Amino acid sequence: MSRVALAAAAILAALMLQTVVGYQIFGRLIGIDLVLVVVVGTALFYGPTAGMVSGTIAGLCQDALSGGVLGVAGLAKTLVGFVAGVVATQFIVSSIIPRGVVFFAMTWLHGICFLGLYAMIERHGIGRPWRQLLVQSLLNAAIGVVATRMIERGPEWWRRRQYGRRAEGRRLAR
Amino acid sequence: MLQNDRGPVLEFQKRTGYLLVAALLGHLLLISSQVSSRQGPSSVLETALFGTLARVQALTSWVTQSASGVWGNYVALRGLRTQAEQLQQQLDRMGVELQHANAQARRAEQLELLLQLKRTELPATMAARVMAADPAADFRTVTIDKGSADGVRRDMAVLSPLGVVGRVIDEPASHAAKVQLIIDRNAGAGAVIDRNGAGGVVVGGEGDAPLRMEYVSNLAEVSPGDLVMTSGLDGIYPRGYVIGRIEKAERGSGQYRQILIRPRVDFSSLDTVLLVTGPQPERATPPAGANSSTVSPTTNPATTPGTTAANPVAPAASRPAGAPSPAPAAPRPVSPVPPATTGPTP
Repeated sequence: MSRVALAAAAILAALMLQTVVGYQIFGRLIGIDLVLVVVVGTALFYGPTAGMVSGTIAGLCQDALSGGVLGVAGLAKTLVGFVAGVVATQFIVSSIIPRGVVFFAMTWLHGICFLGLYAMIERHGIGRPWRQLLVQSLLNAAIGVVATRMIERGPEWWRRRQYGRRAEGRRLAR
Repeated sequence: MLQNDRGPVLEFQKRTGYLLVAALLGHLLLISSQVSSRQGPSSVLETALFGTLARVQALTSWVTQSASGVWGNYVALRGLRTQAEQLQQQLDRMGVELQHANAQARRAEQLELLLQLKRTELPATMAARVMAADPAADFRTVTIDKGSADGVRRDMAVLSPLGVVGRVIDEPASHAAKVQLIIDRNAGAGAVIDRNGAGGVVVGGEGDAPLRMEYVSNLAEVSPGDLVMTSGLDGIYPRGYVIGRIEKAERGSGQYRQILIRPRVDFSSLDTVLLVTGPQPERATPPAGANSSTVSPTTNPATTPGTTAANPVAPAASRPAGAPSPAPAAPRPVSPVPPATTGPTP
């Protein structure tokens, strides 16, 4: 239950950061897809089923807030969540470079699914914004690696810090 | 069955596989239900999801704006006394200019009445705040904090003090609505070049100049810097509102010119926009013997509760009475509405 709540909170936070906070502070966060980062992160931590479900929910929410067709981002993110989860169960992706490669590759997979679906739905499609996709995948990889590292190492670092403070307090008290 | 210490492996993989297939099929059905028509259950689902998430967006927006407001209203205001004095002087100057402009407007009205021209008045508008942008980079939409409960309907035109912003798309939620910016690749508006009256369609595009004007004949004289206004022929945007200036105009290989337009509105920093709540009212042609002494100053026709008729966007300046009528434009693909009759008729 706590996993579900955590994933839901992360998706909601990513959506709000992407649409509201990012817009009001920076204008537009075109280069980053924070929702995709959360979906891939969920898949890396909890496996393919969790990745798939979080991808479906996050994608549908993203579609509902955007001007596109409902279900396109949902489908792309469902697939990405599943594939990222399978990759995480089959390979060791705990170090920085493999994890970055996963985020990078999943952004490309998502982009190709998204653009391909729109090419089938619309007469002209979205086009081929490969440069934009490259920038987005690099940024997503950087943010994804940093965020997942912080989630993994953050609590341990905090405990060590607290322990160090308490030890120093005891030493001073003596 | 293959087992490990966590349980049956294949069973788990099968279940995940079935779930994946079901999810993908569900999405495909959802998408295909919208391809033929944007109405139906998918539209209801989209509206419900949008309505729920828009409330969270409104809350987040309020928190973000409160935090930035504390900074902007208190911390960052030190040393602005000199600037305030300069602005006061500027305001005084503008007051004089406004009086002059009002006098000219009254004179123009009198002339219009004398020439028995039909004239347009300011459309009723309603202010709304932009609270969020599109989460996908491939679409150019924003979310505003007014919805169906405030009288917002689909296809309402949205303006800003500088010019045309876009239109409301999809069914609005009760307190939020999606606005498709005019720079979106699926957006379009009937447009006219102010200098010579050549008509066409402005569509969103990509790149540095995010608007293109299509269906302008190669025979029309177009040059960079020309102002492009809405024509009113699309039935969404009222006539005479600024879209932008022509940045580049080249002779096309076919019948039509290739024209790039730089929009006047800065879409990256939209804060407050105006929704056109009613159709642009037209005043009937006055009786032939109308006396110039009975002419009243411009009135605000806003009658909708909660709306204002304050028009921050200067309508297109009418051409001089002696000016030639607009050159017939190239075939106009967007013309479901009969041409407006607000221009001077020779």
